[in-house]
Amino acid sequence: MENTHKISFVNKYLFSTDHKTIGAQYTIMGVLMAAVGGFLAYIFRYNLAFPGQNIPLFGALGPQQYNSFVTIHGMIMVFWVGMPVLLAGFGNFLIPMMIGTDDMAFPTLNMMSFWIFFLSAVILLASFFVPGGAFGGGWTMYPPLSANGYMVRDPNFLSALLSGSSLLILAVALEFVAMLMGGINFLVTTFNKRTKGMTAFRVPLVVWYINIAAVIFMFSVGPLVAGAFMLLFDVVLGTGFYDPARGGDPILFQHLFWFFGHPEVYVLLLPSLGVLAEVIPVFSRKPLFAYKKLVYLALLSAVLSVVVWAHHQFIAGIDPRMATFFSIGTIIISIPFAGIFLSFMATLWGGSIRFKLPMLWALGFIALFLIGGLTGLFLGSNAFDIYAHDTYFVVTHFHYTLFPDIFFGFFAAFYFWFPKFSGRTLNNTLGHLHFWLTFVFFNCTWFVLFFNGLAGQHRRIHDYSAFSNFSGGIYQTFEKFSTIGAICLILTQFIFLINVIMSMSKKKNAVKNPWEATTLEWVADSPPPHGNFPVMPEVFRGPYDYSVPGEAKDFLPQNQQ
Amino acid sequence: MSNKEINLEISHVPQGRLGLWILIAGELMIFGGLIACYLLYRIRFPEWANDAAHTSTLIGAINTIVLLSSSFTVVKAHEAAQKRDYKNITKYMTITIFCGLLFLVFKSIEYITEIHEGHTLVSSEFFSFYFLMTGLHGLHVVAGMVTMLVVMLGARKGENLHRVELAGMYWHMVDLIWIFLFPLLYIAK
Amino acid sequence: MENLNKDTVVFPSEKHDYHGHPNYARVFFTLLALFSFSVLMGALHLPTIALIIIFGTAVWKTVLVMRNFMHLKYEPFLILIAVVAVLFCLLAFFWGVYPDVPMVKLDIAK
Repeated sequence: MENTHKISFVNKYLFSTDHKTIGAQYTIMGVLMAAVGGFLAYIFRYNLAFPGQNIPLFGALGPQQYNSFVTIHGMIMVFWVGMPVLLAGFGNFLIPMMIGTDDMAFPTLNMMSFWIFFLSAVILLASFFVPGGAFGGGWTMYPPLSANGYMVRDPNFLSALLSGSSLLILAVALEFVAMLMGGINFLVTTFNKRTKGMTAFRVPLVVWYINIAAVIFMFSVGPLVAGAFMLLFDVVLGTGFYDPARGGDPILFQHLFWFFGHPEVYVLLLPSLGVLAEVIPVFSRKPLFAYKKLVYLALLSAVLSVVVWAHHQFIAGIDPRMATFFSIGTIIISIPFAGIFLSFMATLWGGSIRFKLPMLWALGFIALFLIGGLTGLFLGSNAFDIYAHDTYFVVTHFHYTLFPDIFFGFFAAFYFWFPKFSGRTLNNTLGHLHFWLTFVFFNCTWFVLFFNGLAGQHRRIHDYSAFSNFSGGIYQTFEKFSTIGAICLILTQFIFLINVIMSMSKKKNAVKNPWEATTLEWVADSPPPHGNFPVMPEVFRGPYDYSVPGEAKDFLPQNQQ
Repeated sequence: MSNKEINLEISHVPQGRLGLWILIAGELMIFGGLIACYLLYRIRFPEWANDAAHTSTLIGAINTIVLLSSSFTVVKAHEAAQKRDYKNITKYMTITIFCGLLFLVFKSIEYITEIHEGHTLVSSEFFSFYFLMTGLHGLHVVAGMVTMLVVMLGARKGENLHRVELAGMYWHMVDLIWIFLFPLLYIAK
Repeated sequence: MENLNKDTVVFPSEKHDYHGHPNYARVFFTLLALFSFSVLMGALHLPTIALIIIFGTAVWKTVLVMRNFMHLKYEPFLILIAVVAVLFCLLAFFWGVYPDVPMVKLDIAK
């Protein structure tokens, strides 16, 4: 591990093969894309509250643009924020540190995976500037809108290739390739590069969960890659894979999409839950409740996740017998996750809880996800879903799951590991302000929209002026309330930005183990040098040895004999 | 912790092989998904048999033999690599690359004939699937050949001999996919 | 990637006594025989039985290639799980879509 030789700027920060640099690249890229996604959200939320008015910082929003913005907002938040930050970012930062190794199994592959991801993001953003604008047929890319609807007007090969639709498909395909490369790396690293004594059940839970997420991703994305090829051929070359007039079937694409799209939800959820499993024991000073069972529950959810997908298609005309099956499957898959959350509660129970910032975000996650998860149970049952499908109820449901998952999970991890990976500390007051304002404004934004959804307000409509029951009165007031909440929510994130910039401009002052945690990354220096550990640590105990009776300290690091 | 811990650390699989197995699983999901889509449509439309009748079973059969033989030579190359028999590695890998080339030549003849007969990508659903599936498979053949060439140039000088096996595994996967494509597109009429 | 050079190259098999070599020629000729058999079955134009036999031989060939050429039979159980998981996911997909595509006839779909 010689790191004495000089490395040029390009090799150190751009084409670095060091897992921490790549993790930082993924995280920064994800945060930048989140800013784009948030700005799009601001534009169309403003339009929903004050239809037809000029939007500050943007101007008037046309219906076509509205569709594009809603579509790309969804795409960005799931594939260009959730995936890089939660899977690739956490995976790159945490896996080698927590299992006690110097780097990933395939560092070059790791670097390539980031640059392919970067290319995909560029293609996605470029699609705003092609003739006709970015794709606007909903983030699910259903044909015929994506294949031969009004989004793709010109049958000419080149202009079809440069349409928003095909660029989006291309960008998504590249993103999958990047994440598959990352996933291979995570799995091989975890299997083969663990340090001495790090047996399977001494690995911190977050590493297990990231790996299970990588496995779920790997085994569900294949058919959609094939389906994306077929769709791209439909758009660019004029085949009819999804064209009923020529013997194709658009339902097939819905199946291909959701066969990946639903497991994707768990791909996003599991790394965040893993972060909670690290944060909660540290700040409760108690061992994680039922560590092994949590591993088994996640494996169970991985198996179940490939047989629940069609609950997104209850009104698409699928076979009613299958709809019943998928309803039951959906309700069954809530059991492993209920188990995981109950175990977090049991970890909190009777602990000496320290309300530090990461803990606040973790508790906020649990509180908000509870609402999202429980409304998921309603929607999972076929009968209710037929009523609520495509209303704001669904939109609110998945924002109550994905927002805590992506942002609360990310911030919990960020406030937890920032001192470790940057060597600097964050301002506590600004952190508290950031948490409380985010928590309050998130609820302002979304909670009221449950009522709009139950009243039957349909999503994806540019202007509700034509619907008399939604264009005035209480539901319009709710829309305005929600928009003001959303704007405040976005403004709150500047507090976070200021906090990070302030702390980065200060000297490195973080101690090795500020939270008194046990896992291996706290053994390394802050920030860890290239190669992570001066001597590879040997592991003698499990990851959650807090408050062990008869010990002088209330935590026993994993490398302590 | 109980003392009955499963120690997955001794996975016994070197990291190159492990990574490649995961890659192969991912690739099989892609092709498997494509084949599943084809089968679903094929069961729905028995009349696709009329289009399927126009594929050339003879060329398909020759190509199968070519690929099976190349799979055989590439394991021979792997065997030679373990004996550090550089001459045989080069010989067998050259034959494999040549087989891949032969496969592509036959495939092009087939494509040209079919397009001349008016069966293009857009002429019918069956031929859309046919060209998509064989085309994607053909790209994998090209990728396998390039990998093989790079590995061979190293292995000839005794560098990175373990990669001979890895390139071989990828090549077998390409072969496996063809084993399924052949009955699907050429025999089952 | 692993930057092993000429001097330090370590063979998996030398290091771990990783796997042996089956009789590749025998496997190869079995594959050829199975292949000829399935081509012959295709020429017979027996609709259902031939199809079952043809795809049966395809599966058999796959098993032969995976076990012998790809050395799956020397791999630990872990790798077998990955292969079985691929099959499980594909079957789940096929089974879930089956009632919606093949069982709906085209005139209804239109």
